[in-house]
Amino acid sequence: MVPVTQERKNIARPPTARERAVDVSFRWITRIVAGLTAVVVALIVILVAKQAVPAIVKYGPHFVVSTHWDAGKGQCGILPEIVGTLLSSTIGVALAAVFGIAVAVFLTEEFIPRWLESVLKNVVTLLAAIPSVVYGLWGIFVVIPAIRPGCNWLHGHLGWIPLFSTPLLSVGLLPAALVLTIMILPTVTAISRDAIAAVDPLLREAAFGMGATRWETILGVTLPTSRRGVYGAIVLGLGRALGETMALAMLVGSANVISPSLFSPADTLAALLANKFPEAASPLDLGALMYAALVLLILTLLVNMGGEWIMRRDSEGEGAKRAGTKTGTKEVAK
Amino acid sequence: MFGISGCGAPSGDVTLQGSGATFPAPLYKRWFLEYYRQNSAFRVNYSPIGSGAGIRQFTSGLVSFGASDAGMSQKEIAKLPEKFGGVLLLPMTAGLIVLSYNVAGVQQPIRLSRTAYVRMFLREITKWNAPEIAKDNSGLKLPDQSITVVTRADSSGTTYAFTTHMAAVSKALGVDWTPGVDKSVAWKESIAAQGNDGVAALIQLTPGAIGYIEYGYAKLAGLRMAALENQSHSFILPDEDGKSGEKALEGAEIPDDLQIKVADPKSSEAYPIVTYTWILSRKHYEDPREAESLKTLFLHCLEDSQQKIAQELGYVKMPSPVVARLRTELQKLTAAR
Repeated sequence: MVPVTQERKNIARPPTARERAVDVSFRWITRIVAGLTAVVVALIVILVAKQAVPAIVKYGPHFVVSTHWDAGKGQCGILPEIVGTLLSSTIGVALAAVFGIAVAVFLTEEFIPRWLESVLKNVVTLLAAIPSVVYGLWGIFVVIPAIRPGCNWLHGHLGWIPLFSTPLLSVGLLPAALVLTIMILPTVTAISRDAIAAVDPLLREAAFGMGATRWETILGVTLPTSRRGVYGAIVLGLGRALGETMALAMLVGSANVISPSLFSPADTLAALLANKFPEAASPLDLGALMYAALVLLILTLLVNMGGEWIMRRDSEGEGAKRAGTKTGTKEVAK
Repeated sequence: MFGISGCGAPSGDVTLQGSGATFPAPLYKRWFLEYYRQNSAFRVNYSPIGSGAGIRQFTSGLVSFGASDAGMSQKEIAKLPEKFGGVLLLPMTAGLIVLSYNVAGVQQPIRLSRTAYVRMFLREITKWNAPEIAKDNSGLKLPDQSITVVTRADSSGTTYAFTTHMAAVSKALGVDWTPGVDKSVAWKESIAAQGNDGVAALIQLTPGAIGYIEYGYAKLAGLRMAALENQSHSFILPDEDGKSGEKALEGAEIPDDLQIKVADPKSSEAYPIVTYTWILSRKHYEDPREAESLKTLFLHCLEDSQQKIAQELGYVKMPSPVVARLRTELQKLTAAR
């Protein structure tokens, strides 16, 4: 048995030189690692930009508004790819947000027993472990045959609506966006689930106590309180959707067209890079692809900044409200 | 990469690395495996990473030899390091490019005239029951279905060979072949997939599709193949034993650099779209054993028994003058002095 006095003495003693060294080196290691992360990102941007220089000089800003890609003839434009990337990601994220938040609410609001909740939660998380190629194959062999009759019926009967103006041949924008939805569902679900679960139970109980129904509580209290986390989930999902490569390269059709139709084949920036990179030989070819990569980087950055801005604007309003009413809602971690 | 393997293997073992075209990959892998079985001190790895990437790795000296379906351009040859002493372009085998399609309810192979298939890829013919197609297929009931053209999304030697042929035919027909000739071209309205196998899968998936792929891949996927009209106006099917391919290769002029082009074969029995595929070797290797090993390997692949394997896998047997010429050419492969 250790004498009590001995223990007290130990606690009160000043830090040894060794402990101080550990402290200092730990602080420096964290600084260096954090700094390195920023350096890596900066290096990637710089290297991509550097390799893109020949193409930037040759094609200039025309690159992002031109629709023709024929590297052999020295013509490169990526407007169809930009449009395709934005369209497929927007559709994918919109659907994933609806499903993901619904699943997150279902998993947190005691609709089902605890054990079933954790089983379902793990099943959704497992979706994130499936390789991209498998999603691509699943899209080709399951999704496309499943949605084709419905899509072609829509085209046959409502073909005058621009959204349905082409038939669904096989690969195309809609199958790509649907598979994308499933792929980003785990991201959106997991993060919004955590945000919703972090809402103070007292708030919920108070709402019930005031006679609110479950609907009113979820829509009026739980979701608004956790919205920062839910926004964060959607922005992260969008980031993943913009950069997703393999499954989209397999499903989107790699067609250099801009069409208002959901069923038309399209192309995305990431798919273009994956398809053309292995054989890009000359500095100009490589430059054009790096230019496209740079555009994709900027696009992703803009989306993230946009998301951040929405969140910040929103929480500013929240702060004002909070100051006014003097009620402290629990801050929800992003 | 050349080296002596260290993991307890007897010294003197040689491991060589090659990379390039996907088109002949199944054959090369089989050849090199057969050779290893007979000669276990000598192992060759082949990575099918595409013709363009193969040329790049060969040029930068990362691999012992490269492989390309499009040979090498003068510009590419000019970039080779001096110590290579020049390049040997060795046509090792040849293959057919077929037009595969997905048209329901048509049992007999569809016959496509030169005008018909050129204009299909130019998107001037867009329906399967167009008169230009129907006139050569009187016995068939062609559906009123849109044609979807399937092409390669990546840059490939198959595209190069196919567009070479299409440009030659267009010229003969007096049609303007707008996509041009390259490893990757801008097609008008097509859907695209990566690799021969990707195109095969997309044709299978898309009703009304037509696309160009290497014969072996089409056979493997069980796709239907069109009978194509050749320069002498006979309709020729890509056949199992490769006879129509051999006819196409016969009598082609052999240029000094061995980049034999058969853009539009003349023989009336010839299948119209055939291409050679090349192995790229240095003239001089620093290590005498590397030079000797490669020379022995390549000579071995030219033997009748090995060329027969090529035929079994759906490639075309090379004409004997080309093989004889290759044997002489390989004598130039030596160790650097």
